[in-house]
Amino acid sequence: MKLFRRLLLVLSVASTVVGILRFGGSSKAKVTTKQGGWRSYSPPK
Amino acid sequence: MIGVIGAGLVGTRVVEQLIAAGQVQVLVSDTNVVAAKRVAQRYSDSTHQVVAGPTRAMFDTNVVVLACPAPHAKAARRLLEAGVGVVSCSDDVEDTLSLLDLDAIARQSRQSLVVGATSSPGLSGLLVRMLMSRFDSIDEAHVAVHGTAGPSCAQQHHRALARQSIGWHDGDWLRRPAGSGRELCWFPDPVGPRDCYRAELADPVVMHHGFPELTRVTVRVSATRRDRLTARLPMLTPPHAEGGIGALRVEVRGWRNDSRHVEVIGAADRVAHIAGSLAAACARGVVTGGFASGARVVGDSDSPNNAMLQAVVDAGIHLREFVGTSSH
Repeated sequence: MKLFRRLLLVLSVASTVVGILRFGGSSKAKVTTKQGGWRSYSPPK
Repeated sequence: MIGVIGAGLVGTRVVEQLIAAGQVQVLVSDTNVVAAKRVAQRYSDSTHQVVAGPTRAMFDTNVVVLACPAPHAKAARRLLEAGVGVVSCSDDVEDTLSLLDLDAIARQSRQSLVVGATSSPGLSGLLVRMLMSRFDSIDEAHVAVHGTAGPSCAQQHHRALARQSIGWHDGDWLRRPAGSGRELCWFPDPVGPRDCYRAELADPVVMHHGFPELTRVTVRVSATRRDRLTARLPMLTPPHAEGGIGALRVEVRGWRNDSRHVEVIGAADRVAHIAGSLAAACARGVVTGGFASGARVVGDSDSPNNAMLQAVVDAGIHLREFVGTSSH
């Protein structure tokens, strides 16, 4: 029973950490391409 | 007449681009006779004659595009000895080295052998040559590639992640385990950022042949966790008929006005379309005498690079250059 409780504790801590890492920093507004990025290029003929 | 061995995705695109460029006669051959006949039927019309025939009929053509799975060296040798020019779409390292070794035979036969006419190697070398004009001198080229063409290409991608990568580093070949050296590479839209890893890819070998002045050449390929985990196993699921949109990213470093300078250029399109367009341009270049005799790589100083780049752009492949911000 003690082992089972420890296992549950480890799993819950691990899933919390994974959740924070996965969704904690996801914000689409952080990267801007106003100053740089990919520009279309045509080679000189 | 131009011959195409292989009626898969790349072979089909080669035929398509040859017809679009005005080639009147094309001979297609494949181990799958039905596939070759299907390609011939699709692209034949009143002004263009596309014929499906046996492989031995390739000896009657002027130039043959090898768009079949590797190895190509044996077939290339036979064709060169028979006086037929060859364009190879192989991206296998051992096969590429064997093809480059055919230089003496090609010169003896007074024929051109174009090695690595694909996306990487191929378009990558062409882009490095184009970017050279923006530098006083270049010394590094770093290539990253994303995506695959047909099933054979996907299998090659799978094998490449299980072997040893090869890179040119300060005058020596550097071997590292494939799947190592993770680097986040930003490809042109719609592909975007991808984790890329070392793999056994032929670009450093080809680049070193075409640009002896480069002191560092690396190539990386995008891969997922599953790709890396299962690389040493047989492919667990059959590959797709065609990969999605692929991309190529070429970063060149060198000197300009006594300071370090970096240029990044890329393209995003279907890999088979890029490879087929370039191979077709090379075949046309060989027919018109644009390539000197011997083993040639796309982008070397003796190749008709401007004409090939124009042909690739005319085929609808959009080049994009990365415009970054200054750190000051």
